[in-house]
Amino acid sequence: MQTLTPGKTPTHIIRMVGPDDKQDDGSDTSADDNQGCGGSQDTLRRSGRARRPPVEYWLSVRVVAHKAPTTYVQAVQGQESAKWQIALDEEMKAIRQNKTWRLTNRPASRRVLKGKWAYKIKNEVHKNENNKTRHRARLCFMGNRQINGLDFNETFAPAAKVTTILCILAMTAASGWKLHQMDVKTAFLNGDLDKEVSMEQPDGYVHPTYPDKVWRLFQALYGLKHAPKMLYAKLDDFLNSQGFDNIDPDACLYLLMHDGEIIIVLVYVDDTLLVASSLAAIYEIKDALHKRFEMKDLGEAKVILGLNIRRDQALGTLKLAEGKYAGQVLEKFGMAECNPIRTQLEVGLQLVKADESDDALPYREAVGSLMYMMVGTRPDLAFAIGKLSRFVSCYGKEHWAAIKRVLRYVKGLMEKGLDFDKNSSCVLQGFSDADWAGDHETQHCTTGSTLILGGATVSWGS
Amino acid sequence: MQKTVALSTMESEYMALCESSKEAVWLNKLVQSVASQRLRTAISGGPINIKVDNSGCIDFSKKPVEHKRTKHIDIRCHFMREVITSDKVTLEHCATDDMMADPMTNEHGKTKHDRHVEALGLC
Repeated sequence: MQTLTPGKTPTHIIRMVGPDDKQDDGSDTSADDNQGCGGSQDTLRRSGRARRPPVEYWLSVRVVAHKAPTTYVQAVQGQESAKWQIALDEEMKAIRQNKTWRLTNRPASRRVLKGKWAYKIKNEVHKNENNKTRHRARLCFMGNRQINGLDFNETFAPAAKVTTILCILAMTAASGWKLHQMDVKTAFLNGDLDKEVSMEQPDGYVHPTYPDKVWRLFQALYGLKHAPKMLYAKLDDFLNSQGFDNIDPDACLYLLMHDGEIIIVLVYVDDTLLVASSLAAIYEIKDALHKRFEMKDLGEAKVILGLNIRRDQALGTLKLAEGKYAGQVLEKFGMAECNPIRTQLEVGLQLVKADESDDALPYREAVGSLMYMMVGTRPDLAFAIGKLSRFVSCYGKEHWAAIKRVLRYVKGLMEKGLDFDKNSSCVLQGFSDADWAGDHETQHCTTGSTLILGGATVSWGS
Repeated sequence: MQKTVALSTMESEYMALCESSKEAVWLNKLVQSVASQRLRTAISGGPINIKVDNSGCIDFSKKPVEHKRTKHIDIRCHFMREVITSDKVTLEHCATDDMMADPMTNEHGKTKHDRHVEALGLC
């Protein structure tokens, strides 16, 4: 089939769909229309512009290269081996200080699993605003080989719900409470193990005289399936001993009422948010935490779970936004320079499941990246992501086009975020809505709900 | 997306309301437990108010009269009746234009979408 120039006459269209692919000169009335139709006339004037095949935008995917090495050999033999060696030694020192392990004979009745080094190049902002990279190595236990019931029994990660965090932030803004943040250093190394766990000696640190012996672990390592639970148990014990009560609706929320003062501790694995009505109370709890754990004081909370917190004490506003993350997502999918658009989905868009997924398209990655954003600060994306995530196992080009439109929408409103306001009503207000038979394939309806507190939504669903 | 086909808009709203109240009851409990005695003036106690834009749905939740258009509705959705009789949730009608959950159920044009974004507290 020949390519056609724009502005084709009806005769061309008929020829397009006709069974005969050959040029039919007789039916053409104008010579201009004949351009690009496999010239039958030698005198035809052609454009001198170099022809390029159409750019297949849906394939222009750039995945950001991961610079850190993946194996021990790569790390110690690569270009930055000196830096990595320092990082390895640092981590080993921290583990030794914690008295994490003891060298023992290989147990006869227990499985011995391996450990693995994980490498990361971290960006750090120093006080004098200098951006610096830091090489970080972490010894991980290969928990993926652990078997439930044999190597561990229960798992639990103390991750506060996003809704809980938003609620606390809304109340913080409304009441003018102080908001500080702390970080547990080498968090998982703080958990005491209740079960005997053995591990092979890690690469690079095998004892020269006893290479056959194994490590008996006394404290948790990163990667252990039950490490977060052990950390939580320790934190829970500590907070209870300080007089905090665990709030029933969320296991990660602790509350202490003392002399008319309120202190709230919100735990997200190794991140803790400290909220209190006075600075003195904040320092009191910080001191207590410092005594018990090795903590890093981050001062006033600026970033929690990748959500930037911007606070204006005078106006009493607290804004949460994910502009930086949005930029990274756009960069990742090659959409950093795209043209913004004001709505995220075409009105009346009906998508059908594709027979087979087009694996060349990073559809699932895109849905996942946007979903993280939606869950954090962007209720306006809820419907679009809810709709598009139904097709993660059966997507084609039209689905990819739809998600690209969402990315264009994000580009236009990168810095949008939840804005909590002191002057707004501090009473929870719910909204519930539904459409009727919105999905043309199954005739199912869509639920929509939002809960508003302190001037912005704290919980939403589609 | 809901799991069953709704035969009427009232039914679909009723099912949505059930889902929303589940979240609302949990969140209200959380807010109440954090709000201390001193702060209770700022953060009121009592039931949580949910706005719905379908009066048939409100009436059906408040006064359960079964007839041929409602008799098939699943028992799990009647959680709604319990939270209303136990005074955990109150319902109020609002116009579709003021409905903040509307952008979670439909795609809209520019003007309406912008208005919704503002109402949701995004800026």
